[in-house]
Amino acid sequence: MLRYVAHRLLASIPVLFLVTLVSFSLMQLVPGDPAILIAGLQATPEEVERVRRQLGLDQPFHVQLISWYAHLLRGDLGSSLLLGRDVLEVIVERLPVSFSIALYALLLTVGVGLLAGILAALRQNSWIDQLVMTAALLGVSLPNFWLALMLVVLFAVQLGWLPSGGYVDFREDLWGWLRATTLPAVSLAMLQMGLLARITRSTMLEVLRQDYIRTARAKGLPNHLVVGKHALKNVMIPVVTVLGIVASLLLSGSVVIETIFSIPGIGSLLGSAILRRDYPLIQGGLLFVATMLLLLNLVVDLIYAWLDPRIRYGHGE
Amino acid sequence: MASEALATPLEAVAVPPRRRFPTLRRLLRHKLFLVGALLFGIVLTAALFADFLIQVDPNRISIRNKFRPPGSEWIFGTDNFGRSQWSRVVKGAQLSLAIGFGVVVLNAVFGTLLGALAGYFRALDNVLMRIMDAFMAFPVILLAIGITAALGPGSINAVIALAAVYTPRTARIVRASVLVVREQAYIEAARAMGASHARILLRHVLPNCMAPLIVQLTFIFAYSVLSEAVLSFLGLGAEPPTPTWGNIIAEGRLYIREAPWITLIPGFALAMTVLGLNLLGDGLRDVLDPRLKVQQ
Amino acid sequence: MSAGERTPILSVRGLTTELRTEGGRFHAVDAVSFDLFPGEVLGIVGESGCGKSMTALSILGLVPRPPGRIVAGEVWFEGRDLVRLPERELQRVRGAKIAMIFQEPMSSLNPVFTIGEQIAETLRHHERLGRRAARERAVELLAKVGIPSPAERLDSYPHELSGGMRQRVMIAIALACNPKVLLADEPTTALDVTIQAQILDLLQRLQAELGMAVVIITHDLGIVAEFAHRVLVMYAGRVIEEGPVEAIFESPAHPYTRGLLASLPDLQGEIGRLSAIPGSVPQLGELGPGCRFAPRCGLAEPACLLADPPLARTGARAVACRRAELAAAPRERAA
Repeated sequence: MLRYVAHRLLASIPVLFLVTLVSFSLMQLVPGDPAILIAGLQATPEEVERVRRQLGLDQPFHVQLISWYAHLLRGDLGSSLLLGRDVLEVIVERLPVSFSIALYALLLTVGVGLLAGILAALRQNSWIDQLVMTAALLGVSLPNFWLALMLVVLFAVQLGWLPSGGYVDFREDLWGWLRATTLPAVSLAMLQMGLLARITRSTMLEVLRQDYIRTARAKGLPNHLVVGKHALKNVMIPVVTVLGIVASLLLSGSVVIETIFSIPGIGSLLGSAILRRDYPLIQGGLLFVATMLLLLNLVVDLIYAWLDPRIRYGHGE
Repeated sequence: MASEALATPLEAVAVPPRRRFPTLRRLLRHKLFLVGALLFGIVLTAALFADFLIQVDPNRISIRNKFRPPGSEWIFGTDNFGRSQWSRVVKGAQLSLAIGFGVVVLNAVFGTLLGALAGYFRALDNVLMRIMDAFMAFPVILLAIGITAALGPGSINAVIALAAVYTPRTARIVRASVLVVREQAYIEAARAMGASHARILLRHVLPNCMAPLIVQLTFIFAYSVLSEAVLSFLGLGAEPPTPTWGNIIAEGRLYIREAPWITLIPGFALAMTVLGLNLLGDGLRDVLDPRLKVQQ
Repeated sequence: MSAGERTPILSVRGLTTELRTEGGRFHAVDAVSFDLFPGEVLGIVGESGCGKSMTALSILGLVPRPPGRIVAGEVWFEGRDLVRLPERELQRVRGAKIAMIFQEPMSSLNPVFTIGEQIAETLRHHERLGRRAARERAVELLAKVGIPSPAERLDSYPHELSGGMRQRVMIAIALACNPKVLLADEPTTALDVTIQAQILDLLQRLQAELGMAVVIITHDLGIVAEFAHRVLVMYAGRVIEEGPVEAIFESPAHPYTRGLLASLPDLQGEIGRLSAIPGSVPQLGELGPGCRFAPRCGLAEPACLLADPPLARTGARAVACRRAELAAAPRERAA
């Protein structure tokens, strides 16, 4: 196991390096002169020059690259053009907001998606199975932002049960937070729930076909032990790896969902940064998110290795 | 020439016979596949024959006709500028499917190239896979919007961005197949007979990797259509007034109380397309190999 | 020993199990009847697909439900018909009174639990032993099946053991609650030859020690000759011959059995061609109304193709063949 951990950690380092490189390169992709785009069409040549110097765009490529890494190593992700503040500072400030909603969505995903998938597998080809799989298919196919809008129309406009936007800090008002975040969390979780349900179902069906399940039944164990103990542990192992993908999709979805519900999180921050061409913020934001995901996937891989005795204890004979 | 004479019988052995007809028959019996084909077929037809189906120009403004609900006169109603929603949604179908198709083609070419190279040449594997991993570390939408932010809005840039985002996943699938096929006995036989790497790859390895690739590309089509809608919803796709489903929904959002059909209809269109493609992909996977796992 | 003297511990009557596939519905096990007496070893032989494994699975009600189900017959054990027993009652019989071991030791153990846990849970469930008592008993069982350093091995995972060791663990699990009957489905087929002999020795020793009745299912006649007291020969889902091992080997009655025995290479005799039974096992969906073996049988008459011969008993032997008397000459060497 230790070798596996070491190997995984070492493998992450070049990827992390490449991630920083990709983030840096995005700025270089901009066709034409980014300084003009940022300063605006009405800007005077002096203003454009000022922007150019501020962003270091007047330097040759290799100097920019070195400067980028020098800043990174100091923990400096640059300074937002439109907010005039440190990128890292702004992101960290908004982190609890996105994180709390992501957690809510994750609980929904695992709670509903996992259980639905298991249920569908146990009652294969029954009406429950068909229902769950249809719902899962819809979840995966419906655009989440459209679904969000439909939910808003139904629950906020027509029924008035939940607010159509805005955010309440959970530290101040837990109930308010719950009301404000439910629609966004549900919209975010739809895709993930569907995905998890489908994958859990197929994994469970695969596991139930295995010889060791037949052995467990031949031992006279009751069904709740055969499924709940023998099958379940084997299902969880591959399902854990899906959580990495789920996290990535949650982050992806948050851009649109946070924008629709006017939630001051990282997603909406990036969304507005894009529209306003705030390149340092875009760069820094993407780098931050990608790094977080890399770490998360690393943790997921390690949990997976820990759960599966074949990897944890290596090979015996 | 001796090598030519040897090549023919070897290939007869090395390349497994194509089983197109039994597979096609099984596909046509798969109920969900047919449903998917129907749904996607409707959208595809609309996209292909858009110019014949549209009677009013999608960008024609007619203020006195604003906010007409769907009915006998205006099939999908009109928006705040009095533009025919039928025209706009149908035209949007054309653009959405074209973009999806573009992404799929680029994926097919570059994903196969990279995946095959990585799977076949061990020396390249590490490097290529690290680069792919780096790209996959970014969430799909975020990378896409990052690239489009840099390149600027527009359909072509959206295609490039989405192709860049999804290619690593396709490459991974191809690589996995190549790794398996590479170990087969007939590959070793071909090598022993002196076939060049290029020939082995093209003639023997790749045809056997088709099944997972086709399934993956079907799902990529679905994801691209969905992602493009998100991009244009955020204002990063085709520039207005060009209609895409995403920007119609975005514009309709403001009038959701007075004219909900503006937002509803393109959403249904999107759902139908993506659902259809997902069902097609599921059906293909069930028939071609039920044990395939698809990269998201 | 004749069948009338003792009461059987397991009595199978007309067991019929149906399988549904894309090709149609057919009886993988067709009207199978036999008795199993306490302390005896009954071998069931036949080629792949003849229904022998399915018979064992049917006895314990382990037939995989979507494609298969028991459609007729009774399995009498301890005064109750297992086929009609509710699942909960059947679970009390499985593992505790009637145990089963399977062919593939590699995949028959759950990879994510220790072997100690997999043995102990049977004891905790059936005999209500506490954790410590179950662990101690598990160590004893591992020792009994010949696993070295059993106390340390208790916390090993299946992947850390070899095939032979895993099969020993399977046997330990099966014997944990002192079952009266052991169903062994090709227990040595997937193992190396030398390990096969070891496992067979182990089974023989344990059977003698514990006085269990054993049903050993195999396609290997050598195992039957060495281990079994009586043998059942199955073909295409039917029992076609039954009798004491020595008698069957000495003078097989059914042409199929004769063919099987004749196809064994003879180490002492002259070197010649191996004789093989012509043709191949029929698809169960394509059976005609007559004897199932008739198409391949050298002794077949037109009457053989019209009606399936019933299993006719004479004393300790039974055979399902209308040409049986003629075929009952002592086994001849292949020319």
